[in-house]
Amino acid sequence: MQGYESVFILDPNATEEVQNGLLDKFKAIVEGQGGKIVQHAKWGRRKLAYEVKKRSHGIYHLYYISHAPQAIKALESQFRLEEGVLKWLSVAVDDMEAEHAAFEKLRTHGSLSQTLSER
Amino acid sequence: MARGKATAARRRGLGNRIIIPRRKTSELNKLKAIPYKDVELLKNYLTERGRILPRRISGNTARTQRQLREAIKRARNIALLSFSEGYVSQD
Repeated sequence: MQGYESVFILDPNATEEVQNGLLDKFKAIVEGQGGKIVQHAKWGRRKLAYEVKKRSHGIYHLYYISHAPQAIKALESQFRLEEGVLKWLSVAVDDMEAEHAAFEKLRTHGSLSQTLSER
Repeated sequence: MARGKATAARRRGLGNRIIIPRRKTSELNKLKAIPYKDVELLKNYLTERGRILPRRISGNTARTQRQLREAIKRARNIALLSFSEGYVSQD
């Protein structure tokens, strides 16, 4: 199914409650605009390749959102306002399920570069 | 054709060596799409300084190189890859 893939980085210095509060808020915003979060993948704490807002780490989250342009627009404008969001990136994908499966594979089996060189 | 080249090379003092260009290929060409979240994979196509390798080195097709470029830019945007490496601030 066509949709959006939205990656965003939360501030690791924010408390657990604040982070969960943000996630609840985002969900409400997406659903309020007729969108649906089909999958929510938590990538977890990662080291950033460069400092963002003086933070060296970030909590990565991935949303797969049903094809609803208003929803992604509203979500991005909220990201812009939130101090607790360090960075975000939304891309349109043709097949959300395939993208999600690929991501889970990457997370459990590691980089594709190994499987490629084996062939 | 190859003969012509060989004689030309000999005239330039390159001896009897016939240089046959070897076509390089990249593993990436086999992929349907290049995942921007696969940092380890993308790192193979960057220099130590974090610049994108030219395709004459990596052997990517034009199409693959375009997709790779987008993937790397996306990864940089969300801090999975750096824009440049090895720069030491002077202050």
